Amino acid sequence: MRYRLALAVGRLVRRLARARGGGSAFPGLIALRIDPNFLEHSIGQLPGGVVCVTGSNGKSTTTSMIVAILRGHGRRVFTNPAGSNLPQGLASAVLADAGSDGSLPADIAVLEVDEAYGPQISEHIPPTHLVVTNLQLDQLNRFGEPERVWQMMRTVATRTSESLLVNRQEPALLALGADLPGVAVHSIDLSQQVLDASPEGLGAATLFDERGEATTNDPPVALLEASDGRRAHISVDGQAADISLPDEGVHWAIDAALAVGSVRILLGDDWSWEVTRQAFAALPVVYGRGETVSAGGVDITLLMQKNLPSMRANLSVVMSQPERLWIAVDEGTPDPSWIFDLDLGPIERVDVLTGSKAHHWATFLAYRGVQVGRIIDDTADALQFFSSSGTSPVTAIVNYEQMMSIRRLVGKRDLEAAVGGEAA
Amino acid sequence: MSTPLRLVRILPDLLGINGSLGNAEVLQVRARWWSVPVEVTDVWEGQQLPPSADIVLLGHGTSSAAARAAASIETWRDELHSLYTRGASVVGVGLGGDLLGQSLRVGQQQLSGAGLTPTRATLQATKVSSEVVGIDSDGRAIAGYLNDLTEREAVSTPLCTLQRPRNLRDTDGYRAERIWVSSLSGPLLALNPHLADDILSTHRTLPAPTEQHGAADTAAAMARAAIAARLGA
Repeated sequence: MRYRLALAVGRLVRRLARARGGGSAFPGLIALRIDPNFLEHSIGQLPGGVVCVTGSNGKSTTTSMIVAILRGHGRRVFTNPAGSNLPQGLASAVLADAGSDGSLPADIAVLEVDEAYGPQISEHIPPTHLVVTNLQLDQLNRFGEPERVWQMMRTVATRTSESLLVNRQEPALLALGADLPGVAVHSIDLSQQVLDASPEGLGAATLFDERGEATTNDPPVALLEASDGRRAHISVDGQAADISLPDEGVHWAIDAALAVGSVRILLGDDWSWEVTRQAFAALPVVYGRGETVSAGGVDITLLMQKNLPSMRANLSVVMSQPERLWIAVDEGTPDPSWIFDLDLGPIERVDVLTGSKAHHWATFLAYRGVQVGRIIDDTADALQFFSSSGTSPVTAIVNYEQMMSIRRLVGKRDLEAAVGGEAA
Repeated sequence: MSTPLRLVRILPDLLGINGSLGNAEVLQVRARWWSVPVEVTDVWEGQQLPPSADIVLLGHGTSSAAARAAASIETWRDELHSLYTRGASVVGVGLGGDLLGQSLRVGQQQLSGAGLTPTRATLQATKVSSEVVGIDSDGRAIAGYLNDLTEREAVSTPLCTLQRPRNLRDTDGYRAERIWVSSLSGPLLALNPHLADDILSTHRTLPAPTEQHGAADTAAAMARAAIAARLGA
């Protein structure tokens, strides 16, 4: 009864919110207020169970890949829009998808889950399968330290009923699987060639205790044999295949190996390499990750970062000084101290610094001897500067909030409508 | 060519997160801008500390690094005291600063520090996360970001008095003759270059700032002003 009421009121609020010009997580919040068990009553009823994807980076990407492969295999999948990974975001997604009888037209749920909200979400909808992409030194202002995030992930793992999938190159993630009765702990692996191609490492946080020494002798469910530009070479059950990635970078390839491995576990013998390859070929560009938008005829490629590992991943594909470089970072990155841990590679000049952290960046760049063209505080003014001062393309290194601002300013509101500005 | 400034980074793998090694970089680069050559030595677990040094720096680390770092520091305790009494400056940030103190409690574990400062700390007792502004004992502005999981007994000579946000913490760090301890990231010395020059001037007579110092210090002043404005100071 409460569920039906929550659904009805939530949908009404959702219609009103959309009529006012955008999406929002607010309707989901209302639904959860009316029925605190709203997620159990909807997502928790799916016959194929719940796949939760969590981790410091790559959650959205891995989730979208798993969804695409499953749908390619004919499965009906419920999922949450990229970045909409808090409880109210999940509830809003239910409001959008549920049928008139309140049920979701899906066989299985694949959910991107924020690390900090994992314990809360898994209390309501315990995962059948859990995929942890990575544990990285991430947003100390939010989490304090990765040891705390590990504990959050461990809480979710202890509520998981069937399987856990991690990258075995991260011992701390293997340690998440210790003493989980009835849960099969699977892993993917990376070839030495892939590891050698990432001399700075893969950004995994090191836990300096027994958790940092966990190993496994079980064969990996998927092996990332090679990663070259937008191609990844992955083997499963001794059969290898090339797949196309949404963008360049080994982090995409690792996400792909996790997605392939995950679906192999879920579908067993029904899994097909051919269908998987087709699903990857049809994957859209993920917003903010190498996405190019146009402003006044000028192409602006957005490289979104939220922490040191994602910044390193972005910089790893910047092979030469960009023609025009824009760095835009604001309060969405409250403590940017970690920029001093960066290797800036070929970057010798930044044309424009924008956002409330611009002077912090200017200080850092002064110590690195990197020339700064100008500081333009306001994002719209900076965009205007680039579109009026030349036609050469712009590479923009941005945080999430600046990415959203830039997309809005160039007229792309699709993501806002889906996410409601909620991502963490 | 003058003799190199000898800078020692202790356990950079365990004590080097969140830009805290940037403090060493700031000292190094500022010295070089004054044409002072710098020699940087990293000391890892199981190694000996060098027999002499000008500046010893310990950065920030996470709770699981604390026991291992403390074990190493215990073996270096006498050498650290000896370096200090023979004129070295000691700079500790975050966990590195706490390990310069008397003790550090992590859960049920009581770890011994180097005993160079009077600090007694408890890790993961609180979580504080905020930009902060304050003033040091010379009345100069200090700004940074406090990402801190540690609670510390009060000391009589803090590095600075915090002014904003109100009711967060009264003071930060510890300051003695040639010891600088802080919990602030930013990194501390990049955002507050006068502290970097205090440390460098202990070992070299500093000429007038160069153009490069001017540019970096102007940017840092703007960054501090932006933090102060956000905090309503």
